[in-house]
Amino acid sequence: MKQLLCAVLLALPARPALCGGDILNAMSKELDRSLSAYGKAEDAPLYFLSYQMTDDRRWSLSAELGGINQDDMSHERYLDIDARVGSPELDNTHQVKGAAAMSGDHGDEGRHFLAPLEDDETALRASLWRQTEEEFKKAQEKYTKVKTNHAVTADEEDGSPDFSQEKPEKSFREVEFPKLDRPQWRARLERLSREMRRYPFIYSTDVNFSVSAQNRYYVNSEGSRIASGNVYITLGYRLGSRTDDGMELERYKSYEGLSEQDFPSEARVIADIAASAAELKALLDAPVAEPYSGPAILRNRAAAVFFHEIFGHRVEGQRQKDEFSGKTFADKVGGEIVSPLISVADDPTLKRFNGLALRGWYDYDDEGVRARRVEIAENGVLRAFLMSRSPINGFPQSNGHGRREPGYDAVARMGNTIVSAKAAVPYPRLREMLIEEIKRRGKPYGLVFEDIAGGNTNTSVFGAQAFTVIPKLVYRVYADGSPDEAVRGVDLIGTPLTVFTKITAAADDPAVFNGSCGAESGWVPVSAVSPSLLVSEMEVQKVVKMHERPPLIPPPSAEAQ
Amino acid sequence: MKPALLALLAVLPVRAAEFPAGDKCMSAMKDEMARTLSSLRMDDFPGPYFVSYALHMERGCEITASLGSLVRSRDVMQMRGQAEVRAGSPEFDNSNFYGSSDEMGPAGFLSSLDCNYGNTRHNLWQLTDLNYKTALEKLDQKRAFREKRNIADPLPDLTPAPGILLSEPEAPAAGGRAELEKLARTVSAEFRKYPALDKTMVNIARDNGLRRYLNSEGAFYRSAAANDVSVEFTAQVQSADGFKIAQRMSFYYDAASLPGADFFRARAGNFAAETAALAGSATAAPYIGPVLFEGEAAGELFKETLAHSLIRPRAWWTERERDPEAGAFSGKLGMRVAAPSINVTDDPSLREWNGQLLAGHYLADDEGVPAQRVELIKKGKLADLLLSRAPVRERAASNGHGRSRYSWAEAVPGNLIVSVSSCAPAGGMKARLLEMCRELELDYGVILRRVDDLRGVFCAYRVYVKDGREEPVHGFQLAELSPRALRDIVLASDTAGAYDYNYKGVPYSIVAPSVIVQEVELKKTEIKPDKPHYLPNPLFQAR
Repeated sequence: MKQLLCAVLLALPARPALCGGDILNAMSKELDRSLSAYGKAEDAPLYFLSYQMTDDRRWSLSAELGGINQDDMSHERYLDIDARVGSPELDNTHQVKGAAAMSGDHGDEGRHFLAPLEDDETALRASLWRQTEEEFKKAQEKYTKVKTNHAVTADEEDGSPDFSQEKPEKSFREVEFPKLDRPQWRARLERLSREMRRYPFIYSTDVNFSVSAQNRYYVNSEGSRIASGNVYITLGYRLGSRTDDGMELERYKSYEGLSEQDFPSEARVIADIAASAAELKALLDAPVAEPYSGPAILRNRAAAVFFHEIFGHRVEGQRQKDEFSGKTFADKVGGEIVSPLISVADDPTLKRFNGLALRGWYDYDDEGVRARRVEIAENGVLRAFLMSRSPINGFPQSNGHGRREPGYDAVARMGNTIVSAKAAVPYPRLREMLIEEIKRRGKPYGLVFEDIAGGNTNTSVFGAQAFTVIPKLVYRVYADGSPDEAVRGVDLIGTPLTVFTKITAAADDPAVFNGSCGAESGWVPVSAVSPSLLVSEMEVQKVVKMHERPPLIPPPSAEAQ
Repeated sequence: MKPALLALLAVLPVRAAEFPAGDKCMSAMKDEMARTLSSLRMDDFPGPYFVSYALHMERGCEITASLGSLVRSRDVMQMRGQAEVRAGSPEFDNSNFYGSSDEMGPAGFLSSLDCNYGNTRHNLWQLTDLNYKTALEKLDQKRAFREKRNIADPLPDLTPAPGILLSEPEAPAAGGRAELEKLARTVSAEFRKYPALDKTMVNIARDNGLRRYLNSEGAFYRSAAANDVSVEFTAQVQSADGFKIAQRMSFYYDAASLPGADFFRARAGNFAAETAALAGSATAAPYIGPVLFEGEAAGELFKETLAHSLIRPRAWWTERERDPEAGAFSGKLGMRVAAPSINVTDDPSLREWNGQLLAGHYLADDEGVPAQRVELIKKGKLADLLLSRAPVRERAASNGHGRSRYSWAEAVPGNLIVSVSSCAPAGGMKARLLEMCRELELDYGVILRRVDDLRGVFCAYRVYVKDGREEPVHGFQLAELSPRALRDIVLASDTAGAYDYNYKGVPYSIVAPSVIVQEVELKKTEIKPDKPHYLPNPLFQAR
């Protein structure tokens, strides 16, 4: 089972010491030299070659209860080489099927090849030379397996080629590491983390600040030459505790920015910490929820995470021809897959939504294709998939969603997933509609999911096409007007084909989730936007119980008070 | 040999000290310790009978350069903490047993870099609570194991030991990363002269950390790590038949006496030329006969056969057949374990050997016990053992070798010094090897020199009886490697080298002469070669 888990990345870091144009020139020279040799080296010659160098500068700062635990600056460069032998119709990346697939080598993912940090063409070319040879040899070996496997196994349902033809691109846009007042940020984190001492029921906590300036340099044998950069700045805090019956509880909040100006004032963050601490206390005092099936509201940010997890991964193109994928939506283009109220798009070109920074923005993907907005579902009807350069039936071209963490092969991934709804109402009205639905159904209460921390969804053919999502803050809303009541200890479960059709209304309150999403091609920055949604039927089950007791003596900070 | 050993430089003995009251980390440790001892209880269970806290400030930098350009450069700065909690009694507690939950030993934590009092105490509190609960659970499992296995006379788990009281001044953080980066660039550029080398790296690391320790018996220390710099070269070359051959060379110095760039460039040049020459090496063939272990290969031989046999003489109770990590010398006191000419001591107080820093130097071990010199092997017989506070049948007291890095303390060497009562001049070792080969009617003997891993694939030199000619050979593996090799040493040189290793992250050193082992079986590796290069290194074109 593929475990697709998203979480906010609390990370971190400056501009390359060498000129980006020189990097692209050095990469192009070695690429040309490689093509001239590997293009005729074996029976299955190299037909495509790309080099990508990711220059990553990071600063990570972490504080706990008034002290700095981590203050790391790093600068690293990673090389990714895509060497394809055979032909675009059938090449070394083709999926191996049948019994041979079970014994295939999967140990190459997450490999990191470091490149020189400085402006030295020869050193960089020597790194590329070494690694190109390795990749070419691996491609030859894999292609032999692919050809045999292709000959001895039955035809695939989707006989699309392995690699799409795309227009060469030329673009040059680097970013610099933001100028920050580092002592000032250290002091701010110390102060913010000291706030947690006010709440002796907090057992574990940290405040993180991370800045990353990432420049990606890409050249390929089709003539693309691209430099593309992103700055990611994240501030976040976490408060954790444990109930007497052994349940771990936590509240978490993060703020995303493209520059320092995007961040809220210290007073505002302190107020948020106080609110989170109050929520944590409420959860500690809350009863354990019972299994439930009935109407519920997914609050805006929670709905955004929900759509990312349960919907978004199922519209990634390569899954539609993956022999081991459940292909939930593969044959449903033109059919209704979501409530007709809902439209879903993925638009990596958006830097902001309603003024808020989006982590999932980029201008070129990791296969050198310009990012494009994709209308995935319009008024509930499936229109398109997110596409890398791996074509599928009916979708022969990439739409600029081929993404990866350095060290992984690029596949179609989300960027900024935007859920929108027609006939949206103000949130108070949506809440009234929930109560009306509770009464109509004769239920004592409904649920409001305020916060979701991610979860896992099975997209593999080997298991049920079901999902489990981990709610972090859930309230019961009573039909009789009793005050809302926090509950704990439930997982949200269901199947994607039913849950999305049960959205009956939406609010006019879109909110943004920013995070990092881990899947086959590693961790990539993503965003999701959604309004609050009323769902006529949602199901929750009890979580697996933990057995750790709370600490036996109070924290030292409580003693000092 | 004797003159060489006189070059060993010992440091001053440990002295008693006042508790460093102004040290916020130490204050936090002390205050939380007091609270733990007075208040920590689980229901009707007794509280912990022994607790120790350790805070290790890791401070320095790590730099990698290749072909004149930096590949990685970063500051290292973190405060890692440990809290050891023992439940039960010194006679029978939760240690020396593989429990179901924590085979890796107690968990650790990251704490405030600048000794924030509240932060440090909070982390100690959290980990003490966790480890106390784990200790109770493990103690129960261990009791059940004792009952099931009908063990009537178990050894005590924690022996009494004199605690150290030591407070060294906190040294300021060393700067100089830019200078080390410059050194890495300069030295790594030397490899550009050798385009036959596929992959070359120069790694430089500086460490000037600080260790703090406190236990519930009152022992404490604050001990500053010296300002050490390690320099390492690595290079890879491909032989004509496609084998990839990797070589390594390392140096370890006090920052104040770090040689200049010219020194390292010269050694890098020699190392690169030596490695590049292996491109023309012959393919290995099976060999049974005498082998001369020179330099790093001798260090590696003593690491595998001697050091690993001395580690952890107290085997842990386990559901498995035996404790896989217990040393082979366990239970062999008084027996012949090495050739009669061999003597071995361990002396953690030694800081240098012939001007080279020894990684295994320390004043107090990770159980708060002063480090002691131990005579381990006398005339080939095992005379003593390395001991932590976990006693063995034959020895009750710790000799200050309980060492750990983020895990349970185990008996691990500090500085193992191998000496011999009869030896030959270093220059005569090869002649003696040839003599032995001649007696055995062999065409050639084998010399191992720069071997990074005796359990892996390595290069060697055939030395021909007929004319003394040396021929490099690649693709050798040892058919067998056991402590038996120590008994088969027939000759040692009168000079020795110092080599640094680590066991589970704990550094130790071996000072050893070159030796001839009477009979060693070498085989050709089963690992298949790779295709030769399709394209020459672009360095060829850049020249």
